[in-house]
Amino acid sequence: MWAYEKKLQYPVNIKNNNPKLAQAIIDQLGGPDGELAASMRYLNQRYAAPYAQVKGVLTDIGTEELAHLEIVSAILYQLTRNLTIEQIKASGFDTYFVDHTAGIYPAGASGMPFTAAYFQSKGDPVTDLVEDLAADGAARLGRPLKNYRNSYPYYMK
Amino acid sequence: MNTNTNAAGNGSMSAFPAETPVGMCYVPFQQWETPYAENIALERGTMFPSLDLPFCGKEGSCRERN
Amino acid sequence: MNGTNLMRAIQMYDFYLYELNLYLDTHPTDRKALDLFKKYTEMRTAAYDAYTSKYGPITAEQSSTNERFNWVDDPWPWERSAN
Repeated sequence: MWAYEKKLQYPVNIKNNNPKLAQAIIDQLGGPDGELAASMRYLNQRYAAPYAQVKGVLTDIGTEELAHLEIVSAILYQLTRNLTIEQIKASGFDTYFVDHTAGIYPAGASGMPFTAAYFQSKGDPVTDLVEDLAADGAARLGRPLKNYRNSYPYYMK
Repeated sequence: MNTNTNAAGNGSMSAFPAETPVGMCYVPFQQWETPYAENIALERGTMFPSLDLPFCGKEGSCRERN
Repeated sequence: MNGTNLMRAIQMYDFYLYELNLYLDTHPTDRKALDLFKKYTEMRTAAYDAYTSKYGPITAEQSSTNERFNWVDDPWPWERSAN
C-alpha cells in the first residue's frame, strides 16, 4: 500500500504565471519520458525482480517518481494561475486550454495524452533494466527534474 | 540470496563482475563515496557527487557545477 | 525556526534519507550508509515532531483529535503558500 505525506519532496513557489513554459514542462508529467511513465515502469517491472535488493530498489524508485510527479504538477499548477484570455492566446496555451482549461492533465508537450505504451514490462529483469537505462537517458535529455530550475533557461532560449 | 556482500560484510562489491560475456550491457555497481552535505544534496538532486550529472541543453556530457 | 524553515529541514533530511534508502537497497550491509541512515532518521524525527506540533499534520493520523480534523486544512502542498 502507499501512504501520503502532505508536503512536496522539493519546494515549489513560482511568482509569475507562464503558460508557454507550462506547455513545455507538462512533458515531464504525461510525456513519453515523464515521471508518470517512470513510476509505472518501475512499479510494474518489480514483479519480475529475482532478488530482494532488486524488488526493494524498484519499489522505492517507483515510489519516489510519484513524489516527482507531484512536484511537476505543482509547477504546472502555479504556472497556470490567473491567466488572461490574451495570455492564453498569445502563448499558444489555447490548444491545451480548449480541452482542459487550466486543469492538470497528464499529456506530453505535443498534447498526446499519457499512454502505457511509453514503457515496457517484459518479465525479464535484464531486458527491463536495459529499457530503464534508455528511459533514464531520455529523461535526462528532456530535462533533469532534479535540477528543474536550471532547465528554465534552456526552455526559454 | 545476498548477492552483494563481500567477505568483510561491508557491501563493497566491485564495479563489474569478473566475467562480462559479450552481447550484454553492464551497469557499474555503485561504490561508496564521500557524500554531499544534506543541503547540497537536495539542491543537486543527489547525495552522491558521481551521480550529479545535469543536462545543460548541449550535446556531450556537460558536468556543470554551480 | 518558523514553519517554512522547519519544512525545509524536513525536506532536506527526507531527501537525504531517501538517497540512503536507495543506496542501502543495493548495499544493505554498508556500514557507513547504515550509520548515516540512523543519524539522519533521528534528525528527521526531531524536525518532524517540531513541525507537526506547531504547524499541522503531515500525515492524517497526526490531525488534532479534539475539535477539528485539521488534516484537511489549506494549504495543500501544490499551493504557493505551502512553500
